[in-house]
Amino acid sequence: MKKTKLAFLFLALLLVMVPVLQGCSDSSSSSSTGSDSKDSGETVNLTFSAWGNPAEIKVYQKAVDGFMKENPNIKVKLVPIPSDGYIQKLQTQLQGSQAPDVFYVGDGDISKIIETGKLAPLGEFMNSSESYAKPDEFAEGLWGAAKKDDEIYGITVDCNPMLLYYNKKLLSELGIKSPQEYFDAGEWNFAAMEEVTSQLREGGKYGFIADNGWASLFSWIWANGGEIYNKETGEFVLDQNEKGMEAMEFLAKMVKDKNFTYTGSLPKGQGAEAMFMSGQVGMVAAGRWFTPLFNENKSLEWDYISWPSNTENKTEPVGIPTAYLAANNDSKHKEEAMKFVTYYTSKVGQEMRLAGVGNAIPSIGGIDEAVTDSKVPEHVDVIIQAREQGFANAIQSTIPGLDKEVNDIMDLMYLGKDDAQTTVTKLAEKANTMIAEHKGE
Amino acid sequence: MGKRQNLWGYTFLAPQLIGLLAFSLIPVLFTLALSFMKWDGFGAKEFIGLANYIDQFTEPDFWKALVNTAYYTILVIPFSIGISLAVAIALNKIKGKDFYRLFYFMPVVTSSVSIGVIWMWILNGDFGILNQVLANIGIDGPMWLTDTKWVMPSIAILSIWWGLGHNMVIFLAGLQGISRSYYEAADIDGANKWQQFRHITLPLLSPTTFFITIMAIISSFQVFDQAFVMTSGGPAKSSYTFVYHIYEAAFVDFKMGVSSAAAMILFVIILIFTLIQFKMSQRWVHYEDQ
Repeated sequence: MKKTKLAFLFLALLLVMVPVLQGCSDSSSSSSTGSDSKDSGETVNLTFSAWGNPAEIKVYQKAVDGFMKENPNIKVKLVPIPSDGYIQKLQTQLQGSQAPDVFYVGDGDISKIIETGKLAPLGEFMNSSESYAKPDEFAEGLWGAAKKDDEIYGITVDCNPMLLYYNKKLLSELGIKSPQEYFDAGEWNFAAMEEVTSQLREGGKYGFIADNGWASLFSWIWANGGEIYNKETGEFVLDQNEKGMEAMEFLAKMVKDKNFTYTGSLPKGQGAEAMFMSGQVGMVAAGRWFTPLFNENKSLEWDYISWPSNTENKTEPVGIPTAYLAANNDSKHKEEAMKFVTYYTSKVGQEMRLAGVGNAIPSIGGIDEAVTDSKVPEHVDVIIQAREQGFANAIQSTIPGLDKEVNDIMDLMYLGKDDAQTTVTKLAEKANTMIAEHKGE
Repeated sequence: MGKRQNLWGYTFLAPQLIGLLAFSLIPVLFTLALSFMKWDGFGAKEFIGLANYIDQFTEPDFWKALVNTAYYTILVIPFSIGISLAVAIALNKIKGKDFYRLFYFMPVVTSSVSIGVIWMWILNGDFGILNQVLANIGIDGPMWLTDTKWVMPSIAILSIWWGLGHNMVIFLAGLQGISRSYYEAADIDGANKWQQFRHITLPLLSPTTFFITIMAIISSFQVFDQAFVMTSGGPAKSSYTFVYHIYEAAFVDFKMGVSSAAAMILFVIILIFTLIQFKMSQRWVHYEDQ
């Protein structure tokens, strides 16, 4: 008797709770409707989220202020989100319709977010007179996964072609021929890379810190004239081309011989940049993001060198990590949001953020001097040239989860647990399965 | 007759009941429902029957996570219970018990994230305190958190240390509940300390031990924070625990259905283990009044 009563009570309570719980998920967008302001009619309030360290956030704010100056009736509030867990937070906000009007999306996540239908298509707006930037002003190789079926869902905020940083002082102290000399002689190839890192090891230092990520991996494969995905069909082809296999063999050998030290074997939080600055390591790979940090360290003598090329060409394409700015499809002020997106990524917006010693280089043509005039470092042009040849993460990142799976398989090779052949076999199996699954959906 | 009274009773229970419904029961039912659906967290949910469960049983990562978690449990449980019992017995008759109790209990109330960060420094292979201490006594310490063989034992060591205070306090309470008269009687009969421990302390402490064992197994199956903060499941998935697998399916791969299925499987596993323990407890747990 009592039990049934209790059950009824539970049921009643459940029914009472249902509308309440549903109410949580149908709430409207986060941007508040503007209140009446002084004289220019309605003020529109936009929220804008991005990841970045405090110094970077300050730089983003410059472009935000520039936009508000030009559009006094639009207020943009920059709400930083920590990069650790950024996509999880954004996803949760999108689910609850609480997401900002405009937000950064990483190159590995954008295709997932496009599939949710939560990103506003920008193509039409970009070709209108309202837009601050036109699609054809951007480097073609940088659209990556932000373009789908010829529609644009995100614009590169800037870009970061991969290259190597080397410690000039450390190399000359150990009497090692500088990568620049090899490069000028047209010999900056795998053999030179091996030579330099071996000499560094003999000098009691680490040679090169290898990180696990698509950008480095693809750069190594392309450096040997190899290919990992067919750029036309999107198929995985690393296991079918000699050159790509050679590059993998080289990587595995470098790790095994301890010429390269894997970041995954370094404790979490002990980064390559710290080891570079303390003179423990001769070379590290990155985009421009280490530059502001190294530039502040006045005792450090360093320079850029392009990724080693193992073909007859002086340089080969590299991976270009980038982030995209997207507008929320559910925003109450979609028009203004898109306006801000195009301003932030336009020549004006990018120059404000990247001039001098910034954390990236422009993804839009015509303002490279803003970066190269800084002369930091001496061969700053290397990074601009790298952009002309390189590619953003286009194919791998459009298959949800593949990026991570590839990293997990590579992890074992970088830790010296799998050889190159085993690794490539595993990669082929995983990639082919996931690509087929994705096509079937 | 008692209808009005019952109503009052429920009214007083209401805050607790509503809380339980909104934050426990409904989410659990929601998870159960989701585990039969395909959902990326957005848009329409599609009913797909048992596909998520089948997907999990054929997923190598699922088995890897299960094996890792089982391994961790085997490492943690005996040591955790043994050491906390030893410490509790040592503290039981000591002067300044309160001070020590506070001392041992401190880690328990510290946030897991800060504990993780601190231990990352302790266990750092190159310049961690632990390896420096070991070096001083001539032992070449391993790369605790970046060697695939050592990472799980490292996390286990942290967990044993972390749970020590909690288990110890419960054991202490259990020890203090044992009447002195048993020991006095045993003394008169000429039982030595070991015999007293073996035939009085252990049997009379068994309800406490039983409670701690159940709780410890449940919490060790749910290990997540340490792996999340210190290693992100690495290197090469060697600290990829079951709850980390659930988290990753939901918030990295956006596969809410698959993640819910994995969560339900974990629920069943824990349930089975708990039932087995209850069954076995009839043989070794002695309540004083029986």
